[in-house]
Amino acid sequence: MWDTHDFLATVAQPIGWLYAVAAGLDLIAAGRAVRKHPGKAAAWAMFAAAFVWEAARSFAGHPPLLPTWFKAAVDAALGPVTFTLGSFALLAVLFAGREFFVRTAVAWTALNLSLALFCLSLTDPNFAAIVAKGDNVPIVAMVFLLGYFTWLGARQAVENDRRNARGLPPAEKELGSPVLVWPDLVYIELICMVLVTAGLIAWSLLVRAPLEEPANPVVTPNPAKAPWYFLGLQEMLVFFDASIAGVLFPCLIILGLCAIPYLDVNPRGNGYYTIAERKFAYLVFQFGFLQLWIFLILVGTFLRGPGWAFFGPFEPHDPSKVEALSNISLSRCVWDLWLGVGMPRPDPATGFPGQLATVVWRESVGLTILVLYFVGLPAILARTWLASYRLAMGRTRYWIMILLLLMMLMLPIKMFLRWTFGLSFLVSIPEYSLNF
Amino acid sequence: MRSSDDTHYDINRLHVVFAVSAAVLAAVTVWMFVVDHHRPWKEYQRVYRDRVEPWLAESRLAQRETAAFAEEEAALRATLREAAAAIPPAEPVEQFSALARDGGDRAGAAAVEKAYTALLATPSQQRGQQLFDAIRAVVERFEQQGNELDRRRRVFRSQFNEARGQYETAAGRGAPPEELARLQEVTAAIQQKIDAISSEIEAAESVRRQLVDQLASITAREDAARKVLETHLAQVQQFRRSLAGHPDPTAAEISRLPFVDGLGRTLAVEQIWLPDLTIDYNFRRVARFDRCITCHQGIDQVEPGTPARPAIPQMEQLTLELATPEAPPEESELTIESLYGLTLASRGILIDAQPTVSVVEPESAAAWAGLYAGDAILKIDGTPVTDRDDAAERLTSPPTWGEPLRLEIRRGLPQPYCGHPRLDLFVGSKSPHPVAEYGCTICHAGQGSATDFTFASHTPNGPEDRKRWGQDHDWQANEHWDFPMLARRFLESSCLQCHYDVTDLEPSKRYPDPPAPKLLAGYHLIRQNGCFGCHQISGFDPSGKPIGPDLRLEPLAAEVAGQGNAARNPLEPATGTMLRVGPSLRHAIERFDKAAIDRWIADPKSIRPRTRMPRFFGLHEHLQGKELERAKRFEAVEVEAVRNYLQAASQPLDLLPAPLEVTEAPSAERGKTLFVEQGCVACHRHEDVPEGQSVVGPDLTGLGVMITTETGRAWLTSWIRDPARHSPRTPMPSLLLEPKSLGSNAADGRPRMSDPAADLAAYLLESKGTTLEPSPPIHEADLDNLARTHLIRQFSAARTEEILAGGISAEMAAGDLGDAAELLAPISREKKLRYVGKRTVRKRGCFGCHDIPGLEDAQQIGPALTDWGRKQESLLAFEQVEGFLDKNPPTEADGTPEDRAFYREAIDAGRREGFLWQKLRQPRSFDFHKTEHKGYNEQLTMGLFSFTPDEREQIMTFVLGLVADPPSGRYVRSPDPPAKAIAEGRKVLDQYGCAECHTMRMPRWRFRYNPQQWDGPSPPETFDFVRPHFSAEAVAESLVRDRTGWGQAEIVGRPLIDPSGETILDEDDDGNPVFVFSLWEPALINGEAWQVGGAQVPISEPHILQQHPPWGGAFAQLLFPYATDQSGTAWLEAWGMVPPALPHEGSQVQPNWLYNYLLNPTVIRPSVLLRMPRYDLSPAEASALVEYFAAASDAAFPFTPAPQTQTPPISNHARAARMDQAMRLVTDKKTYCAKCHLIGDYDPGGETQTIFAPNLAEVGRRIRPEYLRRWLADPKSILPYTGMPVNFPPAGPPMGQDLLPGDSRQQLDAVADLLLQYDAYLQKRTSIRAMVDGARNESGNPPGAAQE
Repeated sequence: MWDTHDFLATVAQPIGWLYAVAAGLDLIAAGRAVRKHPGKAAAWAMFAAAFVWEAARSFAGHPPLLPTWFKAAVDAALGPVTFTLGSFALLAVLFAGREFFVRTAVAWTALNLSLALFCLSLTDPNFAAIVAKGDNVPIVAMVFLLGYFTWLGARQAVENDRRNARGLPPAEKELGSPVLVWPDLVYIELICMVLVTAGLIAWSLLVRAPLEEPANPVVTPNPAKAPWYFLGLQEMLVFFDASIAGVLFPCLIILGLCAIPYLDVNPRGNGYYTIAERKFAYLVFQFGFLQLWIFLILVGTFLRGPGWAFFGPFEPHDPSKVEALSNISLSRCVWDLWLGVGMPRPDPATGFPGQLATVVWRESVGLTILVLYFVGLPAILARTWLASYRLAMGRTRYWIMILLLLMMLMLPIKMFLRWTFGLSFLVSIPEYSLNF
Repeated sequence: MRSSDDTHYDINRLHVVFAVSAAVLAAVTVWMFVVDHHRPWKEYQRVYRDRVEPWLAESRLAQRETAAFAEEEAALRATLREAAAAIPPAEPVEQFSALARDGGDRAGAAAVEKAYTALLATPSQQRGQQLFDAIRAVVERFEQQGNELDRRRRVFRSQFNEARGQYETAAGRGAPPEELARLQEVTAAIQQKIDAISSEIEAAESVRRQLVDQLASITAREDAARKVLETHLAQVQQFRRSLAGHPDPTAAEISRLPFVDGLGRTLAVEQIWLPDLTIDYNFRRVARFDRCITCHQGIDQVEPGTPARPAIPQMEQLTLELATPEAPPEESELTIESLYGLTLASRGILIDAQPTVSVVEPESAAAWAGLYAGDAILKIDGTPVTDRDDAAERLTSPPTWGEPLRLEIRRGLPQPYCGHPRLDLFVGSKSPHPVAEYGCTICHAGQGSATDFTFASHTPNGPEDRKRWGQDHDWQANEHWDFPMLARRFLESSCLQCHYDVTDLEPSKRYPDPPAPKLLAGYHLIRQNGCFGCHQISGFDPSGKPIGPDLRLEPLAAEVAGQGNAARNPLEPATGTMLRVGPSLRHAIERFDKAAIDRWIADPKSIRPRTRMPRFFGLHEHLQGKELERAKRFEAVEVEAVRNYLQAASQPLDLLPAPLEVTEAPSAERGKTLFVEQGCVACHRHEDVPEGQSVVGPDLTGLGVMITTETGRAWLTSWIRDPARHSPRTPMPSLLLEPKSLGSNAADGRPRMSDPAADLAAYLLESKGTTLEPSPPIHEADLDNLARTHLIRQFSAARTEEILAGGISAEMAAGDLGDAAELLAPISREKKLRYVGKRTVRKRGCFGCHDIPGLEDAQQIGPALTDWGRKQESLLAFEQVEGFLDKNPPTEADGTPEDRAFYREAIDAGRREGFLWQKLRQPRSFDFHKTEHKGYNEQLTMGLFSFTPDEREQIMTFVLGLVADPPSGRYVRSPDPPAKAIAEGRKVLDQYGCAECHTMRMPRWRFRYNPQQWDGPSPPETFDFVRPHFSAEAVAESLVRDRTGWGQAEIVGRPLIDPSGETILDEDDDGNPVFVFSLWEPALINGEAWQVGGAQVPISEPHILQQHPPWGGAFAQLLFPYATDQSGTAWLEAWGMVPPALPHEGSQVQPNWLYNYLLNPTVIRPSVLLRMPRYDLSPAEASALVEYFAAASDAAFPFTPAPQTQTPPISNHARAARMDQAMRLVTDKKTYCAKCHLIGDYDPGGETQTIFAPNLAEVGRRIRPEYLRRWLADPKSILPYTGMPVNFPPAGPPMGQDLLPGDSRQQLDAVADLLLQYDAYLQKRTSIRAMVDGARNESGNPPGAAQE
């Protein structure tokens, strides 16, 4: 119900404040850098100047807008495939170029650019509607916080790896002496408590509690979204049967996390940050946490709309957008499309064993693939790529670890199969509610 | 305890960080307190309590402390003294002493009489006091007596309890029967004593009560005067108290500080708990908490001394003219007080500097200008005013003395400070919806628990509101509340939650200002346009519980069976009761021209621009390209097919033969006169009679285009004569048209007789618009294609082709074919057309408005509207309508830019209002870019009604009110029987258009007058029982002047109009037009009673404050000039020739007679211009009307016929003799009744005016006795226009002493007695035995002949 002018009038002031905060940060950064790195200081000052200018425009009611072609291009380019593969590629690039990215100047520039992009995007009503929603505010904060802490960890790890390469002990080890509980720990904890309390009060004054209408059993909200921390699980429902995505995987995640200390046989990296010494663990963790959890939450929060359809960040959430449900199971693929002979049907007259036999015969291709994946592949890996791990871990540890790992990898594999072949399930046995 | 002094962090630095973060926390905490302290509702309460309330109290007090009010007080005290000193009237004193004597206090009675005689002899205050002492002594004595008796009874009662206890104990321990009997006797004896003393107490109490009543009437004047004075003083006291209750704002502010506010009464959330008005929270219903009054503090405040005027009106800007003196007064210092009687307050209400009127002296220049306390002066002569001094300066030095100053003022305050605009109806404690019982959100909706502007779900009435709210309150739509407040424009919707009758929301005597005009207009539009033909509007849920207004369509069965309206019972809603709004197409549509039918179906408005029939074809604005092409071709086929089906299915005509005695050929010229005079124009429009504006029946202009054949003409004639014969359920009445003599003889010697029905038909068929070209032939391929689209849903593709080629063969015909039964082999073009026609009628729902043969089983095609007002917005299929509107934006014709923007926003936000608006405006636009993927028969079918933007909103108001969410039973409106009778009767009145002819409610006017210059009435001499009586309170109230010295009064009546129908206007001294009102109800103006039929009331136009329009009578007004043409000089009496006004009908006639008359109207006045036509009313409808009339005239419920007379039966000999005398007077032809009236078989004939008078023989059955006496005593006091003279002069010598001796009152009673007992009297006088004997004597002659 907003026309553009009204909308801009409403968001101009908050955007102005955001620009002002960004400018303030840049000024502080410039101030700190001015003695030692005048070049950097000049760059930050330029950023600050740009932000001040934007802030002024915003306060005057005319925040700078994102060009329409840009929004259209982003919306067009951003589908589930590009988003997932893109984030995968991004992680890979970040990993490969970590030496470069952990530099302060690079990170600061990235922060500036992302803030600018965020502020520019806020002038789009569709983007703002999602991002500024009361219950999405912490997720926006999470994006920045997560970025920062990941960067911080990576930076210290890289530093340690460098020291390691030079034969020095890790930075944490070099400090050596223990830190006192009082006053060092308790005091800063107290300070943290005070600041967090202040922050929460301020937050509650600035953003209204996002209370919704009374629940109605006959009206399902569209989209029906899980709490933000479960959106990753909800996203998995798109690719797996409910019993697997909703029951099996959560259990495996918890059990797997519990099992990590017992599976980990690598003695290095204790008490300090490192990447080089624990590359496998690092990669698995970053992939599992960032790619398979955080990114899926972001997808669920910002990019899923009515009908759980995928929407670009600037795309209006039109409830009539429909995605064709044309996925079929592997067995149908095999029997109907490739062989063209039709699916074998379990004959009720044959009783349970006969029916089961027919079903297994029908799903034989999928079952074979699964067996190969879960049994054959680990065995091969144990002799090739992961031979050293197999040796170090022993048989039981290895098999537990590899099964958990393969389970985790099922998600991107299923995504890939769904997008490229329109494959819903590898094994589909609706007779016994078994789909995989 | 630290183990080491070495720390990892620099402790001093941590101290600094801690200090800073602690400061941050402290600051944030303070911030929290500040935000809480300044929550918006607190601000509003602060302003209201610290500024608005004290200002009002100050201003009122100042107003009361002016010299004028002191004077008034003195005057009131004088009146009181005078009243106290006056000698009481004799009658009540005498009655008092008589009562006292009868009650046994002879001494007291004597004392009273003695004191009164003494007072009469030498009036003095002392003597007066003695009289009252005597009277009070009597009253006291009776009181004492009563107390004494009561004391004794208590003693007896305790004895009784004791005795009973003894008896019961004895019985319990099994005492012997003798002892029990003895004890029983004892109790019985005491019980007898108690009974005896109780009746004594009752008698004494009754006497005492009567004495007190008499005492009250003796002191009535004094009491009234005292009451007025007390009210006057009490107000001042109240304002003082109110002012004292407001502490100094600074002190108040301190008491409201955080923590301090816990100590005493401060600002607080105020709420109303409504456990029975629940909100549906889906899983359970939850009590409502309305906290609206937290901010809207002044919402229920009334102006002191008025019942419903808000203390703070809603803000409005006015321009007033303040007269200045001719020349500056010769005073050293001019003040606004001395110049205008105006005082400005020391501060404005909300803004200190704003010059604001605080006191207006009564009868001052300011008062005449219409200024009120609280008015803020914005501009003087167009220039803004800066502050109080500036205003005073400019007011005391006007540019030209003698020229009025133009003041622009702002009256009232904005929300949330102002009062509710309809305190008479809502919020006020005396209104039918007091706020404590109803709260706010049951009507307004919104989130009552919220105390924040946005979260209360305020809903803007348009983009302007929204923008302003966005700036002032950071308002945003709160989509998380299911019941957002209704936008102001749809506010009346919520009435439907409880008022299921809807007609009970019509303006009434108690609420002449229409309570819900928009909703009612919507209701009538829905009723007239027959929305319920396609959309079910059911008033009951599946369990039969009432949930809303019931507008279901009547089942067709009755119509199929050919039953007329006589079988209807619209008050018994077992099934639907609404009639189809379109004419029945059951009978012979061939009466119409083929081309005209085609044209009509395709676009009804092209033939009859004002028809209500919606347009179904040619609505193509959403189509383009191939779709457009297809629609055009298929629609042409559909039109022809529908016509073919209707022609084939309709049944043959059964025409009335022309009357034999008619000699004349039909004449359009005669028909034209008849069209007006027979009342056709009361319901039908015609371009020849532009003043006729009725919408009850169709516009008959251009009927000649539709009917071109001889059959058609014959049908029309037959129809006019007896509509029910051709369409059993038509609301059109039979006009009872008989062949009419033209007064001369034809060549063959027979009298020339014309047939009015044929004349009317001839006249109507004369009106032809454009001649119609027959539509171009349709393509056969299109017909086949269209038939295919229908068949393919029933048959396989191959079968369909087979059928199209050869029809449905015998072996295929097995089973239910449905509409395809039209296509039985052998196939023909006609059959295909019929099939497609029937399918089209079914698809487009024509049967919702028309009775169409062959479609009796058809289901309504539209979605039900029963609970549409709460329809899930997510379920509304907006489709591509936004895109459509972008391409075809609404135009000027769709409402103001503000309205258009409002609805556009509603559409963009996916709200119901937007959907409905667009649906009513362009019903097919929701198919924009949808038709490409829809079959032709799946496309939207709703027709286009031609509503104006206002009408559209009225309909929407009704539909949005259909929420099917009934509140708990006690809130659902269940009217008392009279109110129910009015609501139900109203439906029948609307159905038959009764109010087109008859005025059902007279207009009511509120006006102000200057009490100094107001001349009282000169009451005509009349009998006491005719004279209007008003209570002392009403008189006192009518003497009250408003704060500026004006008096106000209300009258019911009409301005006089001259013979040509123009309003008669006088002119007052200032050149203003003056209306001259003739009253229809007694009025009380300035403490004096004005009588109906007495003097006329002149009121100049600027003093008329408000007019409540009449209801009905448009046709009577229209006919009046025609009547004056015929009535000669006595033009006022021409009102007697037109359909009468019926505001008091129920109190005038007897219910039985009215009932019979409605079912079968007889001639009352032989030659009025037109007879009451005969409506085909059902008994249920007739009795509903009878009850309506009785209830509307305040006749006693349950409206049973009054006993014929209170006088003794006719057997009384003396009375019979008296009747003989009365009969002599009545039948005296020269002077009395028989001069004008028909009496039995006697016809006075002769003079023109006699023809009005009804037959006196019928009076006893027709008229209510009490009314008859009033009528005989003073006819003009009932009908101001009547020609009947006063035959029994209340003063002066009684007439006709030779015929009927006695004084006027006795004569009157005797005549009334005779007329009421007319039948019995005749029976008494007619000796049947004499007739029988006579018949025997003259054998061969029948007895009747013997009498002659």
